[in-house]
Amino acid sequence: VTAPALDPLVVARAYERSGAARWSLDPADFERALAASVAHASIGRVEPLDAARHVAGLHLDDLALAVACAAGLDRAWEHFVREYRPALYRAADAIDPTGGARELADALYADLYGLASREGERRSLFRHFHGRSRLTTWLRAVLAQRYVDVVRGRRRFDPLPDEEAASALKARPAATADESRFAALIRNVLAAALAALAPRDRLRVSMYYAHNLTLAEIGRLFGDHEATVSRQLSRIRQTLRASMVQRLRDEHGLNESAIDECFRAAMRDSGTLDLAELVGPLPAGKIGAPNRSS
Amino acid sequence: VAKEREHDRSVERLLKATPRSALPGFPSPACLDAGAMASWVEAALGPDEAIRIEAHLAECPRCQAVLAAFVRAEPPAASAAPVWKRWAAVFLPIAAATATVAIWIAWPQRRPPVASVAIVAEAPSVPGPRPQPAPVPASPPVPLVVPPPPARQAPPVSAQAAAKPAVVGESPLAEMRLATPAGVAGAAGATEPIVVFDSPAASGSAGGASAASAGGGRGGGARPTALREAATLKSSVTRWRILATRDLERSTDDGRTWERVAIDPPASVTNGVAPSALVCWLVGRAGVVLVTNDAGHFTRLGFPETVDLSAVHATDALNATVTTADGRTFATGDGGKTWTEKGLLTPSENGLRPTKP
Repeated sequence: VTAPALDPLVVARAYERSGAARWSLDPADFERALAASVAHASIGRVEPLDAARHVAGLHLDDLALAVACAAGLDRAWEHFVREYRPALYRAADAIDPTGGARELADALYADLYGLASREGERRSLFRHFHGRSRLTTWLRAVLAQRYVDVVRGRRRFDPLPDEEAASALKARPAATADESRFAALIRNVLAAALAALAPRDRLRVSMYYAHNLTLAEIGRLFGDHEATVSRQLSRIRQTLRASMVQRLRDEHGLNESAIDECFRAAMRDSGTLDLAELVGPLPAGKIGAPNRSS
Repeated sequence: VAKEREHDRSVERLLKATPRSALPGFPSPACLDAGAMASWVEAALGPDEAIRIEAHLAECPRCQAVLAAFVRAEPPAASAAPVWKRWAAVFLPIAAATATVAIWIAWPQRRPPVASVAIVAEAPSVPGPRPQPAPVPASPPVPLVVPPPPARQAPPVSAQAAAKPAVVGESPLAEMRLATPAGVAGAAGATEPIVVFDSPAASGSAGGASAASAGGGRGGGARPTALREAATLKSSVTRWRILATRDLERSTDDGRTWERVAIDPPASVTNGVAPSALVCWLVGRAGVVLVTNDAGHFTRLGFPETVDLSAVHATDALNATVTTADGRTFATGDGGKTWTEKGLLTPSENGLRPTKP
């Protein structure tokens, strides 16, 4: 749907509420930012957006600051540097205590200022901020995105395992044919069981096992206490186990002893799973029906 | 059940087998922008949009990696502790202080060591008839703060701060605050007075303030019947104060200037009372009882026990009642030549409110 037009009265009230006047922000710039926010929120919507309601729910003071900074207003920049830049550095240090994210924070700061120009116009990263979250939260999200992309780029150039490591891998005792088959089977049913979880539970599993977040960090993300997160993870594991047992029994026709053997195979050699791949969308036919064992 | 637990362990082992170096994958057009992720984290989205974003997060390795980095980027100080934990941090010390006060009140017969807590008491030197001892209210409006008995550990400073001091003693006009000697000496300096008391105004009948014991015992002070010293009363009010250094000072100009009064031989005094401008009784540790008749030269009196004394109540230079740290009282009617043990004070005698309804 197309973005609805903004009522001038709504814009005027929003301008007043935002405190944009203290940055000497041009009301026209602020109105354009509001319109951009409404348009951005309208993307993908089936029903028309209630523009007045959307504007009322925005962090208008942060939006005004971002627009003023994007416009290069000195007072706004002074305020941003004083109040937000330290928070940005703290976030960078928290992401990478070795200081690796500091450079990213500096680069981000430059992009916020808008060093890059297109057709002589300074384009600030602030124009992507639409006021739906707090400015600090948005800055952290931008920093996290950049950090992940940089880390991914670096790891692509990580050296392959050397000869010793390769020989160590080869030294692992060879599994029997049955063990290998059971291990493959259990991984397949695990993938199916993961895919059947509710999205939030899959996200919890991923955050804990694939991304090594602590219980407290996951609790912070979902607004739960870490003890609650621990109970949720325990429940999810039980759900996975029940789902896996059922699939092994119903879909693969295993009896109880064969099912036990599958789980024992997982205990002996769980291999290396790419959980990120397992919790992701499953290509059709990925879980093929293996040979019946009973 | 055992088998299920074993299977659960297998599941966990499988999940833990995720390689730590798994690459997060490349961003796709469907990946969340920073604004969407920040809005989702702040729960600022509508339900449909939130479900859509959550579904993407559940299956997109790259956005999961960004989300994990985002969570780690939150400085620890900004993390929100559970509500109960935040409130517990506030209320637990208060509850502990309240419980401590309640326990102390439950031992009204105990007397605290004078050295542990002293009271700064200053009464206005209002000329006129001295107010009669106030009757003990059945239910005072504020809880009474009583320091710990000798065998107990002194309360934490926070507990003292949380406890609201109350008027103790016979003079309802006296304003008192609690302070440990160490705290006074450390925080406010050694010259900070720990006890201040006035002689009655010289309008014939004795007035003025009384000092009270830290244990909330019977407050010292002059009785309106102090007629024996009436002839010696001067027109001025003598104000006394005991410093944290245990030095004694006197002022005859309403506290504008102070002069030190030597105690010879030196003694550690902790409380006193001035029934008249010239008479002053002092008590201290190890049975120290001193009295002066000329507002200058103190005489050490004999006391039957070497027990810490916490309060003194006197009507003149001859009649005084001393309260020990363990709550007993000794009275003299001959200027300290002989003492008679009166036993433990009752709550009504020592000015404490009844501890149990």
